[in-house]
Amino acid sequence: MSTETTPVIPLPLGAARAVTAVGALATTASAFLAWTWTADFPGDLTVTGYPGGLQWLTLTAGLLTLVLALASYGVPGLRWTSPSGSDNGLLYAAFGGAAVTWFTIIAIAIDLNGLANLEPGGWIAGVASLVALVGALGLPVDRHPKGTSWGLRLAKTDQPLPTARQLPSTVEVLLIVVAFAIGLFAITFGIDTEYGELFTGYLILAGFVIAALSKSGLLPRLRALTIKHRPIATGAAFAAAAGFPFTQTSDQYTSVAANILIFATVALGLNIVVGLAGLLDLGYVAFLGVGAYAAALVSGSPASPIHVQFPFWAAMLTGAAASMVFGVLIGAPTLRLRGDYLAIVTLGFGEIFRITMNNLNGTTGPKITNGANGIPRIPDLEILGFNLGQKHLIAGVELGRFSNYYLLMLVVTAFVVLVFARVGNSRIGRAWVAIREDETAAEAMGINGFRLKLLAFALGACLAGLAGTVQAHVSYTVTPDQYTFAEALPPNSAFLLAAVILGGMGTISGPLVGATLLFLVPKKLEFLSNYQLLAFGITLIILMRVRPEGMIANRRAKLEFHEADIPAQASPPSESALTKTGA
Amino acid sequence: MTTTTAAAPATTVGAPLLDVRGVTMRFGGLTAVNDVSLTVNQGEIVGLIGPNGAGKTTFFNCLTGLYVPTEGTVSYQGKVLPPKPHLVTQAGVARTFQNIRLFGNMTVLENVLVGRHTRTKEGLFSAILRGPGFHRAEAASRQRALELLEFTGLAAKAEHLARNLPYGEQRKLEIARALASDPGLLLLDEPTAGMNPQETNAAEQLVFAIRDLGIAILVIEHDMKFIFNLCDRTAVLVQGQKIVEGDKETVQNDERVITAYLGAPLETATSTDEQAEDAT
Amino acid sequence: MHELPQQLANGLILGALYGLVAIGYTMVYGIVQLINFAHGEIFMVGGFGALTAFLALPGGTSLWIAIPLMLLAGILVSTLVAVGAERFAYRPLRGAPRLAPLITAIGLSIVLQQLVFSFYPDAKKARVFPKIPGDPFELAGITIQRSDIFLIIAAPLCMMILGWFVAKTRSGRAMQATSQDPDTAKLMGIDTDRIIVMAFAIGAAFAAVAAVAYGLRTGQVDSRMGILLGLKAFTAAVLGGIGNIYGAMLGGLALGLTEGLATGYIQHVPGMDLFGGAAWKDVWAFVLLIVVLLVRPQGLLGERVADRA
Repeated sequence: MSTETTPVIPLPLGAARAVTAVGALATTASAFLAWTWTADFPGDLTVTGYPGGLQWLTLTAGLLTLVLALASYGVPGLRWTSPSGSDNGLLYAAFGGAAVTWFTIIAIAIDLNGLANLEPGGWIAGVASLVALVGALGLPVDRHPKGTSWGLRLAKTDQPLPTARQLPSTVEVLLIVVAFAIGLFAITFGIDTEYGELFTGYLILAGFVIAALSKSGLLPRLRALTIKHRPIATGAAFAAAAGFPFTQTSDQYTSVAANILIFATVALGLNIVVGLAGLLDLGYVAFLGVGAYAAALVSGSPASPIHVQFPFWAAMLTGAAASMVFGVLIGAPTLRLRGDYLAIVTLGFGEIFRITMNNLNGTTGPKITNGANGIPRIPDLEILGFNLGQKHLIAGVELGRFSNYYLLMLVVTAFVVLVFARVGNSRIGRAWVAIREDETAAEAMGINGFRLKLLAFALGACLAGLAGTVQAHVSYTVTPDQYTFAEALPPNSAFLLAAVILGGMGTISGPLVGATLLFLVPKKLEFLSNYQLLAFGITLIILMRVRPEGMIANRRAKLEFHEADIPAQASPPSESALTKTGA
Repeated sequence: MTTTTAAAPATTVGAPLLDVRGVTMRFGGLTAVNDVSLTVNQGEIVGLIGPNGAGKTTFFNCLTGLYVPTEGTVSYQGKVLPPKPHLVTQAGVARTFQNIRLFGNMTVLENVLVGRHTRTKEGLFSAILRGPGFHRAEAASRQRALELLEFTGLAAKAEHLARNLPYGEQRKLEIARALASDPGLLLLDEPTAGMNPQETNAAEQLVFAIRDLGIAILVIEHDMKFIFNLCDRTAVLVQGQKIVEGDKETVQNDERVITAYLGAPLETATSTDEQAEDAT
Repeated sequence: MHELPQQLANGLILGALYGLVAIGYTMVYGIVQLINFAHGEIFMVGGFGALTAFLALPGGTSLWIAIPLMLLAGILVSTLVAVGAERFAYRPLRGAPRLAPLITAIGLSIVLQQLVFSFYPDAKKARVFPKIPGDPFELAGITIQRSDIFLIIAAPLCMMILGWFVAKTRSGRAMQATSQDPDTAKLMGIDTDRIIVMAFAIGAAFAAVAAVAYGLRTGQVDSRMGILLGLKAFTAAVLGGIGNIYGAMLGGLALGLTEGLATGYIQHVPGMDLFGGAAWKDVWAFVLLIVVLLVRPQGLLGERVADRA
């Protein structure tokens, strides 16, 4: 292994641990103090004895640092929190604590004009979190040797974890359920954040906590557990997702969640096309639009020129089929070509779709879509006598309109996940990946490249169309402007592609996570008002520079246990830019 | 699960398998391959040598449907091969590439499974519905792929990424992947390029082992020793034309070969004759 | 049908504009196989650079002096932005998965748009750009706006300079070599990094010329003008055969002509009366692209690349 285990700041090991633990304890305690004198700063940080708003984040970070520090001491009963035995996780946790605490301090100073608005509690928190960080920097962490890179030179802890203690499988299942419950809580917290400061702090903390947990070995452990109990883990994930509306008191955030699900599902469909088959589709949102328009036309909306009202299952099939037909129409002529031609043709198709929907208004074309006004007043769905537009009392919780649609959309998402997982891991999925890797070699293996690419393209279109049928009903109205190439808000083709690539190509969770972030970040950064999109663009560039392989690396990329052993970049650097792909 | 050809006894030469008639390939004004005919019989190992740029790989690409020959036909088992790579493989002709073209981000096992593509049928709906037939077919493919990895000595690396394999093993994996399509004829494009003598020797053993499975082999090589040890017959391609074809004595003693290609009489090659007999 | 020559002229002028921007796409793609999505915004900042120069000049400066200075400022701004983008957003990702730089390009394009939108004075809506005053020319029944004279002179001039540069200079030949085989070019001692920067810079300079032409023509610049024009220019680059500089111009002209003719004539085709006019011209432009790709997959002037096995 080309890594060394040395502290960043030379300190005796005992002192470093003690300083970290004391700092973490003090950070935790400081969350209970008053940080500022006025409740003008959102979240009310004036109360001594009870944390509020951003203080909860500091508290979380402090506790995590404390637990990992105690585990580093080898305190019995806590060692399970750090199976890797590496202190890198602890360092990340301490970083997270300092980052979120100082973010809060700076936010207070900016919002209230000056550091004078800080109570002593705030100063204590700031100092305590820095003390913990200094202590953690004194711990021996896995680092790259000098001269290989800059900064802290933190290494990936890529040694395999020691074998886990054998647990009864009921306990393992219980652990999975607990983990997903915590996950649901964390995501709910993120969606429910009421002000931008809290959401930004949440994102900062979430990033560091995830880094800390994966370096400490807890996340890899959990991943191993979920792989072992895959059906239960999948079930738990969906149960957690289905539990979301029951945690909500109003429809304010369930509508956000329903739209996240639509966006995420479409992103997952795009991942079949881009991630598996390697086809660059820049007009994917048009297939969502085809599905939505098809569903709107047969929904019985008074604005639709076709005065029919299909039952929902028939509308879904219509939308999916219409999208698929367009997929085949676009794909058949262009998928024979190699290179990036598909990219531009799909981009063109996306534009044509939007312009055509705008033009079919009766003056510049036949009257079908009402042009820019779209098809409004799409009636709510009624499935088996259950009207999704009305409130229902389920398990003592009143579920509103968006909760109903959220749950319906979750079923669609589950279906798309199922299709992705099953097809991805089959003869067809392997053929797609082979085409993505090297189309010539794939053809030499007997794969009919054109047919399989068309299949991927049509399937992707079909799944997007399916999501579109639900979207039409969720948003009441379909208009051409919902389906553009690049716009301030998702879903649009650029954001969809970004969700896939940012999240991780070829994975299931990648696009789901990517889509969630891409939806939430612009929405929650509304406090930046004019600079919201600017911040988004910068985030996109930074994220891509930090993790070009996406946030969730492909299972295959994970197989590279020995990445550090391979002599630095065996292939010429320009190679991957020129790799022949079927895109 | 066995090979598609009726396995001929290992060393006897059977009926014509591949029949190439008058293949010519022109790129614009350049004639890369000029009127080349060649047959490969069942159970045979045939070599194709020639200096750089002689058109060997172009000729290969004509056989495998990557190029459509300007003139001439290629038939396999009496049927004319359509000029589409996947249909050629479907018909029973598999190939490897000169510059290794593995699916780098797939595992070793997955690479071989991709090779099974033509011999399995499971489509999209079968994959989504996952009926018993799907599981049976997947298990059978896996079984066959693992057998082939065992055969090529890669079984221990089944779960590694293809691009992390050392060079020699990548070559082997390409062969295993090609064998997965149950071919009757295997086309090897410079299988020992860049190998050290030990690896070359192992590759030689592997080629013989494949022949013993009843699969005929057509191999392009630069390595004289390798080709004369291995092949029952060798054809020499110079400037797109086949100038001679025959056993190693015929080729080695041919004036045109010596002048056009070898430049000087072959001493190294003759000295290895004894080894060649030992090997067979 | 007396308006045919007029529509042709309009189409050609518009097409020359597309062509100038398309050069940037085609040069960058030819060398690093990257669709530089931010190129439309490089074009846009060039327009604002030129506008800044105009506003900085004392009022009443003759356009004979102002236009060259605006051109210079536009080229300077575009080139700096493009080279900076290459250095900080693309080069670090050269070893990354192929689609990663595409996402940074999308991010960059949002950033540039928003920077201008938020920080350029009064750029929340379109800003007025000077026009060349005076009556339009009448030439054999064709009306040509005075402002278009700039483009009519600049486009062929630019193409001639670029053609000379690529074919005759050392750097130009190095550029050709790099686009054909970057690895070999590197082995031959060509500094490929420098060549890539040069491709970005030339593309940006051409985009800036186009931006000045666009400003003069429409009398305004705005922060979103790069989106649709970038899209069209990229289409033109593909249409002409991506990687070929003359192809880019030819593709641009073909696209412009199609739009001109579609605007004026499609509605006269029997049965198509509802599908003509300005509302449908973009649709016909893309239809042209698809048809060309079907007939000539490599584009009008592109070379068919044989896949070496």
